[in-house]
Amino acid sequence: MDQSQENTQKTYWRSPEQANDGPQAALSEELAKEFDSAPSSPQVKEGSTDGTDENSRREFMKLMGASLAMFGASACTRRPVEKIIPYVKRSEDVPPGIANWYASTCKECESSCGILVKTREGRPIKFEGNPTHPTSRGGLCARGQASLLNLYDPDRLKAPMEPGRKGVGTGITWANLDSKVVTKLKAIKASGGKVRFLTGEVTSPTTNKLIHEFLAFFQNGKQISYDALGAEEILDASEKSYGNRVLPHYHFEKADVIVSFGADFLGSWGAPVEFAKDFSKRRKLGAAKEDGTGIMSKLVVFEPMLTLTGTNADERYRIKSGDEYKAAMALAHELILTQGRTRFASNTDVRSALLPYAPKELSAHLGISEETFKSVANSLWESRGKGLVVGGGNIVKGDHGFALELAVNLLNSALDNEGVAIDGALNPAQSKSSYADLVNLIAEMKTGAVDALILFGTNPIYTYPSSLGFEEALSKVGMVVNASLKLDETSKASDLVCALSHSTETWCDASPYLGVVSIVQPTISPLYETRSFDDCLLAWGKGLGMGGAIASSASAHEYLKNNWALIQKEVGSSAPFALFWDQVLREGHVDSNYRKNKGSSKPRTFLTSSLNSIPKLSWSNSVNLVLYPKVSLHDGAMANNGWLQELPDPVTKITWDNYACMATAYARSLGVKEGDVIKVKSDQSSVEVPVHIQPGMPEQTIAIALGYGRKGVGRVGDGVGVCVTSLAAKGGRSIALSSIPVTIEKTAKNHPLACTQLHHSMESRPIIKEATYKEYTHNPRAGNEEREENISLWPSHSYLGYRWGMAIDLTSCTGCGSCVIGCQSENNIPVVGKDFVLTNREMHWLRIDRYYSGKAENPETVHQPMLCQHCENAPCETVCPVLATMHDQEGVNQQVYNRCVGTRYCANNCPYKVRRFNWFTFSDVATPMQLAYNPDISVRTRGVMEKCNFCMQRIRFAKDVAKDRGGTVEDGELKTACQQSCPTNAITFGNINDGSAKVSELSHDPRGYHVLAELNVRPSITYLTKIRNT
Amino acid sequence: MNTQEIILRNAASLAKEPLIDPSKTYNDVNNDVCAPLERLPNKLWLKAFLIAVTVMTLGLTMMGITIGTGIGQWGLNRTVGWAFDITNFVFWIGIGHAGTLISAILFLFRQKWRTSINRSAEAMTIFAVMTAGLFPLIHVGRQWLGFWLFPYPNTRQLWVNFRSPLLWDVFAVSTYFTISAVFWFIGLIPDIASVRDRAKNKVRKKIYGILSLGWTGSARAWNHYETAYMLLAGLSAPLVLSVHSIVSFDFAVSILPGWHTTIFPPYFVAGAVFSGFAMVVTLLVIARKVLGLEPYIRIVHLENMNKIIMLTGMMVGYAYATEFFTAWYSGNPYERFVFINRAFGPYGWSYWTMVTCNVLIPQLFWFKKFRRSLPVMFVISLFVNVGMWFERFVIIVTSLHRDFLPSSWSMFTPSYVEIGIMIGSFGLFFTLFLLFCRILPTIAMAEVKGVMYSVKHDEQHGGSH
Repeated sequence: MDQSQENTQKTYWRSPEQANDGPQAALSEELAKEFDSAPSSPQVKEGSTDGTDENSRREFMKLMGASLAMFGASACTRRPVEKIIPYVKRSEDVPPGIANWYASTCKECESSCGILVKTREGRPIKFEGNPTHPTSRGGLCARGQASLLNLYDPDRLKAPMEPGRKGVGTGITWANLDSKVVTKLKAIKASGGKVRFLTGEVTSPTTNKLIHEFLAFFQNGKQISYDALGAEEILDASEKSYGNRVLPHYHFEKADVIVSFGADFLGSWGAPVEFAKDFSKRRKLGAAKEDGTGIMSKLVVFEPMLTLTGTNADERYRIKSGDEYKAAMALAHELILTQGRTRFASNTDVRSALLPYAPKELSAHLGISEETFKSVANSLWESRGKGLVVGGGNIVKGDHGFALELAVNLLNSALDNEGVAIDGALNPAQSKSSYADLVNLIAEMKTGAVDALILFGTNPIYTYPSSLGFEEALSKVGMVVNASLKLDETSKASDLVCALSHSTETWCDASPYLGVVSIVQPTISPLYETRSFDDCLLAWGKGLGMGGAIASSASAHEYLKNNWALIQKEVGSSAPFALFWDQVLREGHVDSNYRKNKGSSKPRTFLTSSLNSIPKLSWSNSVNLVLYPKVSLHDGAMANNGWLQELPDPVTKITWDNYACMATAYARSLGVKEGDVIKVKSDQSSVEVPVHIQPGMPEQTIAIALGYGRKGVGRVGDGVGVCVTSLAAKGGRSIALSSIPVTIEKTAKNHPLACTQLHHSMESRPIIKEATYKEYTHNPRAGNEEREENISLWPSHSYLGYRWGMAIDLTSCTGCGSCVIGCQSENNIPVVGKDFVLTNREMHWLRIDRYYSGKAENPETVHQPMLCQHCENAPCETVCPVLATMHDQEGVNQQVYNRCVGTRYCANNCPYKVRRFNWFTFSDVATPMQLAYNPDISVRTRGVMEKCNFCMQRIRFAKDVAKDRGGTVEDGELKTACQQSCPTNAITFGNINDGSAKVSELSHDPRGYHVLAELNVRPSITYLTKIRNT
Repeated sequence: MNTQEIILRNAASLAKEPLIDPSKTYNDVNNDVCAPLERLPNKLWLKAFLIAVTVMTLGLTMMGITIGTGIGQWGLNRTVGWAFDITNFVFWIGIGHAGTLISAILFLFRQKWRTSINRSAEAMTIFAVMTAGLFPLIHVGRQWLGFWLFPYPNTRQLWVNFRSPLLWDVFAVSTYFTISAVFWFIGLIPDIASVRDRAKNKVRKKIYGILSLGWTGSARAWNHYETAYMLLAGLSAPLVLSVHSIVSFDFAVSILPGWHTTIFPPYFVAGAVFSGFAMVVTLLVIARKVLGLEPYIRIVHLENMNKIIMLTGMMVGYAYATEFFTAWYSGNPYERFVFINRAFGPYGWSYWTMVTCNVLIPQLFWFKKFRRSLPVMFVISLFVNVGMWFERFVIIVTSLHRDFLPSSWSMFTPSYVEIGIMIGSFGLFFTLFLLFCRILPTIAMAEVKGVMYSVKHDEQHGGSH
């Protein structure tokens, strides 16, 4: 291994809890010793001609062989002859049976949450949020957790390719690719031609620097960043309103009242994990209260479709796509003109801009009453300086989005929220995105002036609408090099494709906010002949004879370290670099600014002249389309990820498809039913897509998810759903993904949608108990008055020692689905595919039930995580003829897979229907996906029942650690996978025999109740009532 | 008219119709009953057998597919864990009730008319229980480990769960099958001896000789035989009640609304007798014709069975009504919902099929004309069979598909595999029954002779009685 590894490796956490654990000195010592050498990293490829490193790969294959053999043992019913090959010489840093944890960063979106990568026997098997990370604080979204599976994606690019724009990949060696690129770039350098980089949002400061240095070598080099789901409108509006082009930071925990105009901040916009964490802080009540919890905040949402945020709103109003800014202006009109409040009340610019937006005139058009504007304006005014108005985001993209941002800025500045809950100084680092640059680039490409285009972190042919003309422009570029993990749409139209490594195979970094830099460290050697983008640039830079850091760095790892030496200075650390570096690798991040300065920025001055850019008030009768990113698939980059494809959408509960959401009344007027295929026509193109009837949709709006209809991502994602980007128009300020006027035609086709929940009403059953905040403050038992003490004929269990239990706070739970993926990853839960979801055979041990109540056109929504309740009097236990499910002395209802013969009686008798049956051999996955399995839990064979076991393997591990220490498992030391991943800390797990444990406190909270308590099954899971601040 | 006269008149009217064609002699009995055994199969039998075997093979293929790939081949899902499998199981167990009831309970009550039909009814019982027993075995996820349901000593020190109704089923069904089979076989001994004595072929003689256990027909043998038969009848009688009571516990003991009902044991027993008698009628209407046994299985037998069908049909109907009343009276919202959903939900059609077939249609038997009409009773018995199959389907599927948490509600649609298995089970049943008709006397000759009071003994010679 390379010399640079020496000081990089004492960086592992076995678990977050143990990171700072004093009493376990002996263990830590041992760990430190074991982790003396590095996980091999890609830069060892230096000097090897074909860019591969045989030794490290061989090492990996050896491990893989052993692990596969072990899996074989647990997965077969007829046991084949097995040969387990032991280590001839045991690798010191891979203690069999013990997990190594590495601090790293999630690279799936710009929020760059800190993660801990759990590795077993040298392979990463789980991503968890890093609890010490300043922004994500232990939470990790569904996508982040599922991105682990991309490492083992059998359809990844395994070597560089040369599609030659014919769409068919032919293999090429790295040496060959490098020489081709270098030759071409040399020629361009000589002729002074144009070199362009088109990237997505590059969050890595090191990669950005490297790109910058690389481009500086050419006379005419430029980087263009654009993300179709980026924050263009916010940046533009910020520039206009405040004179600085930054993406402000939002502090949801500081707001008493939050008014959102289509900003899905809990679901798919911005940094959902961080936002959800902050937001939920103010939604904790009673025993669930955390530090900094004040009075309960109130969330008011105006939105053009039912988003996850809308389902969590205290008040929600439907609004036609495109009219969001009108509602915001009407609100401002009410506040500033009608009520004559705020310092802008006498400002002529403001007055003239707001004049046409009188709620009296608008309310009929908007379908929102005057009283609503009045009451929202009142509550915003009452909490001025402690409120927050957010708007836009992914579902209000286009020129109307820009107008909305201006109105939002006006409201925030008028209410003095600017500088308090909105921070213009703590801007995330990724504010380079520019639509104007992109438009220029395409124009430039069209003229044939671009000699080389290097693409990274973007898939323009898929994500840009064809009206931008990118594909056509691309054909006129001298050389197109795409750096990608897939032979995807853009790769197929490129000359050369660099096969990128997964983020667990490379060194990198990311900076979500000014002063917060997070490290990405490799935890496994590249599985295939892939390398990082930085490695590619370095190789080409050296080939071109560039100087500076490019010349002096032997590898991307070294380049990164050199850059971190500079970062160290920026963050003001005076420790020797080696120590600093060790600390970074151990903790995963540095934070010189965020915690210290969070929310202390000065308010920016609002330029009232910016309101002139708001378009003239006009109304249209068209049906408008919103193209939105789903919580699961987002822009579709992870379309080949089975976990995400099968993650039920938090709102619709549909898997494996996109569809046109429309209001019940509208569907009725069209005469279409669920699953009927309709033809949606915009002035750009038309697509055929199935209908989903969605309560809460505005009548003149339909919404279809982006990210589907992929080509070239692999066997899971190809052809799932429909690609709808073509419907979008190129807008003035960004790609207009919403407020697209469309016409709709019926077709005779039908396309069944695989929904995991077929009934959406609670049928007045006391499954989720609710109360308002007002009722709650009078009586904490509100909504939960009935308390039946049932007598039992059974002798009760005597739980000596531990008794495991859980509490789930329905007020905190947003329904994001993060726990579902956390559970899937931890417990080797299979993906069954659309056909089996259609027949209701999904395998999730933990599901989130979503019920609607109230008015059908704009319902109230509740989310309820539902998993095995570990009943004291478990109905499943008595009916199993072979004792395959039984109660242990710690209160866990266990499922013994090996003993199960599969009568399914237990599932029939389970009132919660949380038991899952292996209808087929679902665990038989494509190689190498077996490597993602957690070896601590069996892979189930066909014909056996399975269900949540309270992460028994984690309980086991925590008890072992406690035993080694000579103590007992302490409260908070042990977390289940779902609890760990929850961004809002809605789930608490622990020993309910311990009266001081958090879970005991919550179980005895006046809000606590058991679902179906009247059955007297005595569940171990306590739910806390849902409180709405209405 | 005094009371005595009335009794006498009624008695006379009851005795009016002889149970066996008065023109038949003892010798005729032997000749007629043994005839199908002693000749080559006729075309009708061959055709029927071919169809039955084909259907059975289809069923076996579908079972093979299930065992080879997984229970996922059926239409079940996370909410509906049982459907056709357990429906068929309970259906066939129910069919298997008539035989023992006829042979044991009617025997103990000295109902003489049972003699003509008890043999075939018992055979039907045994074949139905065999068919039924197949379903619990194949419905498990890992069929090759089905033997784990038996409490046998093993080195893994594993034991079974005696609290599970499924385990009670194992005992109830296996006990019922054993006793029924023994009872049937004991009843066969004198008749097998007759067949042995008539045999003209050595191999035949040998086989029937072994099966007849050396029966001599001596008075001593008869004495022991009658005692044994009586004792076995006493033993079987409670089993008729217990087996279906225990099968009903599969549902009654669970906590699922629609299953968790104390009325189930009597309700299931009544339903079982109902369906069993209907199946006997179906079979005998055909068999008496095909095998030429009209003089022995007469309209009066069938009419008596039809009366029982009408009676048990009304009991079942009463149970249906009681269930609704109890659901309403309980005030339990889950219970109420299940019954409203049963009648008016998405599976309402199956509920009303059941009510029509089981409660309404058998009311036609109030009319003597219909009770004694072969075509009418045949059609009605088919309806009852269909209705009783749907009764089990309704109980299982409509209760499961919408239970406590509406989030899990779902629908069940059968796959071709489980439909194939269901049809195949009929194939298996009829194959066994057709074989029985060819190799064993379908009427208890010895017993029938006991009820032929009009026979003139002096005109007879021979006769094995």
